[in-house]
Amino acid sequence: MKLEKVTLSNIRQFVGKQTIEFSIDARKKVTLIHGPNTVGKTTLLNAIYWCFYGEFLEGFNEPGRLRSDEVAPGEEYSVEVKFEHGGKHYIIERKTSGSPEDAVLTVLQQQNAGRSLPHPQPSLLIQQILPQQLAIFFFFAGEMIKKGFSTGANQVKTTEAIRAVLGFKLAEQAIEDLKEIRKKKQKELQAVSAGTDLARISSDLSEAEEFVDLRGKQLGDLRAATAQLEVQRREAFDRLRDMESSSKLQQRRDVNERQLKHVRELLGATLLARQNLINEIGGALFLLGSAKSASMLISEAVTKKRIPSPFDKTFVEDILKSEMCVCERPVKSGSNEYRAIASLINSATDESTINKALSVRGVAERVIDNASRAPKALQSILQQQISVQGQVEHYEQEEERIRDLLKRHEAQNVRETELQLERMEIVLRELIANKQRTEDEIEAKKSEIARLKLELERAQAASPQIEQVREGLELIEALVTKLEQELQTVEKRGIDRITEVLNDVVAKSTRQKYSATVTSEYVIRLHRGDEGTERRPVLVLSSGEQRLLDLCFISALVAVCREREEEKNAVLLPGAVAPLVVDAPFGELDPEYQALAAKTMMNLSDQLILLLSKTHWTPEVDATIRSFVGNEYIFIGHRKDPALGAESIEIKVGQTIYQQMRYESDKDCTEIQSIGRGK
Amino acid sequence: MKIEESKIREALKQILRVERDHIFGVKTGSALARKRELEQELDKVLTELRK
Repeated sequence: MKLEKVTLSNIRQFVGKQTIEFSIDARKKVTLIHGPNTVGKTTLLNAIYWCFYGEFLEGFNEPGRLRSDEVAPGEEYSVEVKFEHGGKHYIIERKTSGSPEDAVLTVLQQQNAGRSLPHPQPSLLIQQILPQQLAIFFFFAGEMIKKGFSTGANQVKTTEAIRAVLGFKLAEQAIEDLKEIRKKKQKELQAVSAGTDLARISSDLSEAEEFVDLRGKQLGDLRAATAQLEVQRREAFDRLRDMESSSKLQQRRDVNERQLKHVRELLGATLLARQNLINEIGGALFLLGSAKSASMLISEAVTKKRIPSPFDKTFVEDILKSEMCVCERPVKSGSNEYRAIASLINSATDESTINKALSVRGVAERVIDNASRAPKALQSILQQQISVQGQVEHYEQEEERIRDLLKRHEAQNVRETELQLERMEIVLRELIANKQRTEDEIEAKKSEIARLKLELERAQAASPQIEQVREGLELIEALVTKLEQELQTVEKRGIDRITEVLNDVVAKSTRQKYSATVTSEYVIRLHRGDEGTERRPVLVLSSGEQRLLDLCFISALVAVCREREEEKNAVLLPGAVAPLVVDAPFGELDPEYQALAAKTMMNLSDQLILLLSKTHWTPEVDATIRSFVGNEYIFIGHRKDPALGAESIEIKVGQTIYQQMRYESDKDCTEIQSIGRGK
Repeated sequence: MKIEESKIREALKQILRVERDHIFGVKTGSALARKRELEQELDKVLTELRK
């Protein structure tokens, strides 16, 4: 099957009639559709799915609102898909003016000379071409891989779905039905051969075949139990992966502890500095008044020439001693002048007095200076204290957060999970041994059946009536044997092919030292260990690695179906073969893994339709798939209200930069613009 | 009775088509109806083989 064209009419963001033509060229098999979030990539995926099945994929928001908000209620909306299948061309259309579930489906099958005829049973035709149960493997959003495909709680369901997509369930059902018919025929044979030796042989044969059937069913149960256990094992791995992050948390806690210790020391030093400052400037502030008075008095005394005084004590004593004034006039002892000069001694100063006064002034000035610096210094140190206290609080809160997280992790108990895993491994080994034992028993019984059949054949040879029933039984026998062989061969080949693809991917990824295996329940397992050494399972994969493997797994599965369909004379046909239509395939993959996934998907598909946002459109992806890109489209979002997020979203495709959002429209809608058409 | 490989393959294809139509809902009907249809297919094959 190849999708050729989709036409959307008034579907959500797509106002009016807009068309996308998919590339159907075998060399240019990729159709790229670029679009930012909210412009309609998921809508397109779901519109195609709705057109086929009248329903939507899991996780599609507000499925009841499929009609565009920009058209009047009651106006018609529709999706039309043109596709090719088995050399025939079909146009399916789902159209309604009511709710999506009321839509009418029509399928036109194109005839010769361009004529088209409506198919009488459109839903049945679609079910024949691509059964809805299998469509999730072809039309899906990248994030759904994690939820619903090769891992997680849906594993048993997934294993069944994978077996269905590969066509094995059909074969198993056919084998079961043929065996039922065989039982009926054996009863007929017993009835016609009653009373002869045939009855005993026939009864032994029935018994032996019933034994094989019973063991076959037990084998099925064992397989289901193994799949269930694989699920639990995977869940335990996932838990362990979360727990492994506790070592990172512990590292974070250690770093935080060091930072906290540092800022606490800083806070202590700041508080000490503040105390010292207070001690220093506290005294200065207390003495400021006295210091100012003292300084003023001394300055005044200096100004008034009292300090140093003109009446120096030594100078006065020298005059009195020499009885001679500085003006060389005699100053006689006992005279009025002598007494007047002698009286000056009382107010004269000596050197020590001068020094004391100057020292006091110096101290007073220092006190005044310190007191004037006090507010600024205090403010600065308080600011520093607040800042450091903030840091201490931050690191304390971080410590609290980490402690809580660690407590939660501890509650999950790493050791307990590891023990659970060990127990599961033991049970798993027992189950596998049991399966082997059952298979051996079946094989042994089959040899006995072969011997009984030979006996029966000899005994039956004579009677024509018996011969007729026996021929019917022989045919059934031949069909069952052939189908069982085919099933076994094809299943092994399918698993080998998927394993080969996964190993190719693993070899190119950062896990190149590992090898992948796929179990009979279609669970991917990674192992490490070189040849000759014991292979050990890899317990924990990152979510990116898991998604890479899952994407490649799906691609390989689709490839197996396609390759089988192309096989000449194949009996066991796959359940479906269709293009891969994937919305946001790469998720959290880094660019290297995006390119690897893109390359694998492209190599394994016949037709690949990728719906990509800017984060998926890396230079690595571009370089990987560019030469295979046929048609290329861009979704341009038109918005009437710039306030709704007038952010400019651009994407570079080739050398051209495209504006993906425009804010000049009279309505909110999406325009589909073709930007490349490869031939 | 010697049954050719190609005849077995053809018969199996037809049987799987019947199964497919029933399993994927192209044909509706009980398991009994499915087995009855299979038996009819087997009878057709046997008739062909006896010719």
